[in-house]
Amino acid sequence: MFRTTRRKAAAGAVLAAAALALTACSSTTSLPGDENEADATAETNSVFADAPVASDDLILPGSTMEKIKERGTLIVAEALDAPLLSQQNPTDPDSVEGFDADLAKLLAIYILGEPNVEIVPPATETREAMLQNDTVDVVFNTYTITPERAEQVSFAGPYFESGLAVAVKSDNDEIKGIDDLDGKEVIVGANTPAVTAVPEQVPTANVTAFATDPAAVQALLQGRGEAYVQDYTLLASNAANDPSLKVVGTPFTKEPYGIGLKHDDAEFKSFINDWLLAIQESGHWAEAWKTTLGTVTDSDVPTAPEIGSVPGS
Amino acid sequence: MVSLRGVDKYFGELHVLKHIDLTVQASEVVVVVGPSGSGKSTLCRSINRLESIDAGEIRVDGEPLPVEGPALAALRADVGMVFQSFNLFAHRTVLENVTLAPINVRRVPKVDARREAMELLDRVGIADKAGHLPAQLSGGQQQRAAIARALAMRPKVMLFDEPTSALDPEMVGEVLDVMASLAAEGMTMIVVTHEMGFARRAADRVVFMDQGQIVEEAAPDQFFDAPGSERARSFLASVLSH
Amino acid sequence: MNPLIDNLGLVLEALGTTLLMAVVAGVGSIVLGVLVTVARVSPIRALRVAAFGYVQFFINVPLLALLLLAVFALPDAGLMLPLTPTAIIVLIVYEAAYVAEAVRSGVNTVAVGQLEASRALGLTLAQSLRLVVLPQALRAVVQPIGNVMIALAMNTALAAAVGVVELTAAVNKINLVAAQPILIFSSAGVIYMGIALAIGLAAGRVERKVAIVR
Ligand SMILES: Nc1ncnc2c1ncn2[C@@H]1O[C@H](COP(=O)(O)OP(=O)(O)OP(=O)(O)O)[C@@H](O)[C@H]1O
Ligand SMILES: [Mg+2]
Repeated sequence: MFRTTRRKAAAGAVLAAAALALTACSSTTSLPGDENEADATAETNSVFADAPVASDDLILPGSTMEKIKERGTLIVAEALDAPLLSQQNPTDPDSVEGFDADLAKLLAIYILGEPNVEIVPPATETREAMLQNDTVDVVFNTYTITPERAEQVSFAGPYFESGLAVAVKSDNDEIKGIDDLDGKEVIVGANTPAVTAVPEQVPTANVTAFATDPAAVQALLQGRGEAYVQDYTLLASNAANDPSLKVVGTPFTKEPYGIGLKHDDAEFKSFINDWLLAIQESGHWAEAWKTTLGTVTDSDVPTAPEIGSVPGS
Repeated sequence: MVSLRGVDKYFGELHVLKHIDLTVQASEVVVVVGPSGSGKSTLCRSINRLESIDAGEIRVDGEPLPVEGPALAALRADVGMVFQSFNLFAHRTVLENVTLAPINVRRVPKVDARREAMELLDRVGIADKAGHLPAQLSGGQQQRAAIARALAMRPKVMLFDEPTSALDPEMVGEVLDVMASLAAEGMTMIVVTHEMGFARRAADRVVFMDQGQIVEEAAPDQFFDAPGSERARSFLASVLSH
Repeated sequence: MNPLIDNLGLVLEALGTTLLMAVVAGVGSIVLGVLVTVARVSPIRALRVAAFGYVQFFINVPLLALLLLAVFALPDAGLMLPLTPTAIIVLIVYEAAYVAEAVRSGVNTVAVGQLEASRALGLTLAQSLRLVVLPQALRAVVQPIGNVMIALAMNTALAAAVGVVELTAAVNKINLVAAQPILIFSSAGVIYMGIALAIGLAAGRVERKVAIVR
């Protein structure tokens, strides 16, 4: 997961905990300038050309889809600083780019006919609350489907499958993968699946969590730990940008990402699952992957995971 | 014991002390009088360098006043001072007020300091208040405690800057009595006061100041009965008229 | 039921770290803050200027920025300390600026006559500050310093961002699995409130005890 890269959100989250989370849950929702309407360039982008649009009879009366359609925008919890997934363009703040961001726009097109997305940057800690109190319609936030979470929210998808991998400094020839981390100092991103996955896999490892991905990379390079465990794609992207670290071994977990929605909204869930199938068939899913995550790996377009294939989905 | 030679002091443009010459002998009691704003307090405070001077020289016991630092602190330890507003340490008991400086400056053992402090408090008549905080005392009692505090350092000279001006009239007497008995015991004293009765009774010499200058110095009887200057006459007329 | 209770061991250990940071940094910041105040009222101009600059700097730079700097920039300068001590040191120097501001306001409440009286008795400036001015100044600002201590205790949460496993970090970790943010962070909030309340009550008691009758 890439939430580690959201420095502001993490800091806010930390404060939120200190101040009393209840109020903080909604306080992240009204930051000025966070609304991101897709601009003209996005609409003409190949990813969105001829994207599927739901027929009117699919927008059931009284459903969440109808509510969104009446409102005219899809309100999405997604990051603004997750590279390749959902990152605000520093030179064009109106444009948020990445795999999650593109899928959110595709969903908006499916419901509204146009990519009208209003982004509410979530803290990892507040996603469930944001769905429960109707702050957002959906969460596109590398949201790993787990049975525990599925008790609080519902998941459409999975729409993508990733996994955790290990990165080390380029000159480290000793660590070749997760199995070499016994007794080692291991860096992870706070609020990422690695926080729990590393102790499960390597109980003897000493885990230190940093709030953001850049901080974790810096800590690795400065020697606060010998390995950095993080989402494979993000590590690949880091390694592509910085020759002083490298990814070793293959992903050692499966992280099925789901689209978070309000618990027990079965109509909306099957509607979104239908949409997922539609964009997979139409090739829009593959196109979104190619122009985002696909740019940092040599591999072919992966097969989309089967919908409903993991516990909690 | 104390001598000022050609002392000048300015507050900005204001020339507060104008070429002051004054000598006070050991065991002498000098009372300084004069209209408000004439520079009496400034004169008094310059003797232990709470105010610095701009020209001239001040000597205490033959030694010129040191500039800041430990030497100045040592000199101040030998010069007792009593303020109009008492200035007792508000967070310390009366006894602690008296022992603080002997213990920390003179390095007197605590037991001895306490014993001597109790003797002094007894002498100024407030031994029963030793454990009280200053705020629990009347003004007259506070001022007597302040005198005991200054005496605890066994000063060579005592400076009093209007010690009774902040007191209710009925308490003035108790403080003046303590001062008079000190004077009688031979303490060198410089007293700024508006209490003309005290001046007449206890002073060896009266110094009259006006507009930063010493206008007249005389024995009390002579000063009060036959002031030598017009300014002193009109000053006396105004203070004695009420 | 409550995931924090299910993970009581982790929560207690993390709470211990939070309290350790709060106590050590609290004591440290009061000591340093008083020293900064002394420098600020000293007769030496260079010291006064330095102390003023110190206070202004730390009051105007966000704590998180300082934590990130200390954790990630100092190693580049060849100084790498473990994370918790680093966070404590940063908290000390940061909160000391606020303590110094509070103590200075206390110094301003001490009448000049108090200093004059002590100087007139032959106490050195250092003795006068130590024995007369600061004790009175501190008594006048027990509550404001208590408030700084409460802020400090809350600010320990920022250390979670730089890898210190204190209460907030532990709670984040628990929520990552349990996914019940409202319940979990409310509970954590209650713990922080408890800490704040305890400091506030302690400050109130101390204040009543040392208050100066005037
Ligand atoms: N710190 C100061 N700064 C500027 N001017 C001052 C200061 N202290 C005293 N003065 C001025 O110096 C002059 C002499 O003051 P001083 O206090 O010595 O008079 P005084 O004879 O003691 O008067 P009073 O009888 O009212 O106490 C006055 O005009 C006063 O306003
Ligand atoms: Mg005066």
